[in-house]
Amino acid sequence: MTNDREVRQERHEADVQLLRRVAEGQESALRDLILTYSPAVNYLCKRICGDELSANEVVSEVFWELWRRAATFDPRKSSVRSFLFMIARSRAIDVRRANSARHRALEAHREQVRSTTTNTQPDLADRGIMAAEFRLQLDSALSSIPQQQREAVELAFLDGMTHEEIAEHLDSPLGTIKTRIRSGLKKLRDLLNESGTGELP
Amino acid sequence: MNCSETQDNAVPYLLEELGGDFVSELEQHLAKCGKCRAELEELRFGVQTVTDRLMGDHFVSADQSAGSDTTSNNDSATRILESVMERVREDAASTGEIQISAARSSRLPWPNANTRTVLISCITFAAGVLLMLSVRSLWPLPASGTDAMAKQEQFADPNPSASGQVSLPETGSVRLTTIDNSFQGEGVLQLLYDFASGELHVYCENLKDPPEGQSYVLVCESTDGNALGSPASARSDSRAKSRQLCRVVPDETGFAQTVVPRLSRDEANTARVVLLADTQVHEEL
Repeated sequence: MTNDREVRQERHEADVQLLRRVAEGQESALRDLILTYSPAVNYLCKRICGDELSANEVVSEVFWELWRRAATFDPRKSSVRSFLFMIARSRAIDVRRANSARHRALEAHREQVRSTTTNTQPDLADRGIMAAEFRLQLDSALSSIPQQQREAVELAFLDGMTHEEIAEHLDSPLGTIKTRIRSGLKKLRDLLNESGTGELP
Repeated sequence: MNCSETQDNAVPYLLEELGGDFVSELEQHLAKCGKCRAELEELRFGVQTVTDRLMGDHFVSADQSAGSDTTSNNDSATRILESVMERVREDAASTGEIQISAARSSRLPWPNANTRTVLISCITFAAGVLLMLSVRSLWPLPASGTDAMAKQEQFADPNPSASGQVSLPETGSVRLTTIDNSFQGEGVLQLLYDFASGELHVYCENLKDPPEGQSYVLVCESTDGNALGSPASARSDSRAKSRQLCRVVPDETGFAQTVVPRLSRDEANTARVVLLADTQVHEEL
């Protein structure tokens, strides 16, 4: 586990260095980040947008925004991965909202999520952005928190729904959803840290 | 804003879901409340723990990439990089502030925060003008293509003089949206040009069933009379090839989609697209 923590720390530091170089205008550094993270960004965008064509469009936007915002990145407050995740999630949600013609696809997607989340064992096996070991860790942590919290967290982070969308989707008060996600996040953080995999600084 | 409201909205704040005024209020409270700052940091930690794991373990790093995926990963990364840098250059050119060379070593002044929004708005508006998308549920197709275009312009953008060239990136895709209020209240259509495949994807909403014996047909016609989808050197004045027809069949909810294949970037920029219902085109198909 210590090795895993060290590897993550090294990765984090390498990412921070790359992003600093991006902020200095070095295209080669941006290329390395694209090479490293575009599969995960693409997967996330495809999952949120509901189709590959929109995802491809958003991926370029995400890295363009990363280029623009690189100088604002604060490694004390975030990791590069988390920074990228936030950009990708926001841009993908923007595109999904703008794409009213694909609203039905989103509904079908949500229906799929609904049927998935009724399973007592969260099926993360098909969420191909995670390597096996990590999948087990997050799978285990998610299955250890209350089902309603897990559902809300998955919709927010894996499916890119906003709090308001989740409240509408689950037909629950917005305040309830905020509480579920907040509580779920705290528990996940504790569980994942207890697992010894270690979070990045 | 009090502590309860601040802490309730801490995660939406971290996920960038809140509006500007609300963010200002929340940040003002955070500036003077250590308890809420601590709560926010705790939640930031939680968000990062989850998102790191969502992003962190599925990567092929530059130094680890190997095997059969290397080439495709490199190609994909190159395409994305080219698209990003093209946008950076366009952005810089539109602001007139800086010149960017392919290889830069000095720090770039960052574009204004509103530049992207303005750029996208300009692209969308110009695309709406150039593509002149119009929807009519009962609009007979004139015998000649020229007449068809003359008819079409009656329903085109109300400000046709505001034309110009749309600057699209070399790679990737750009979503173009035009709303025709004359069509059944909404008539939202979307055009999406895929640079990789050369396909123009058209999505239609709120289409009612066409009159009996008629079909909806999407007509994509070049504005210069040249053939669509041919290499520039092989273009001719053949009217038969200057437009492409695609059948559009709405489902029970009024949604339909179709694809106009084999369009070059320039053609996608300048082609006129119209959706109509007509017996004549139905037979032509």
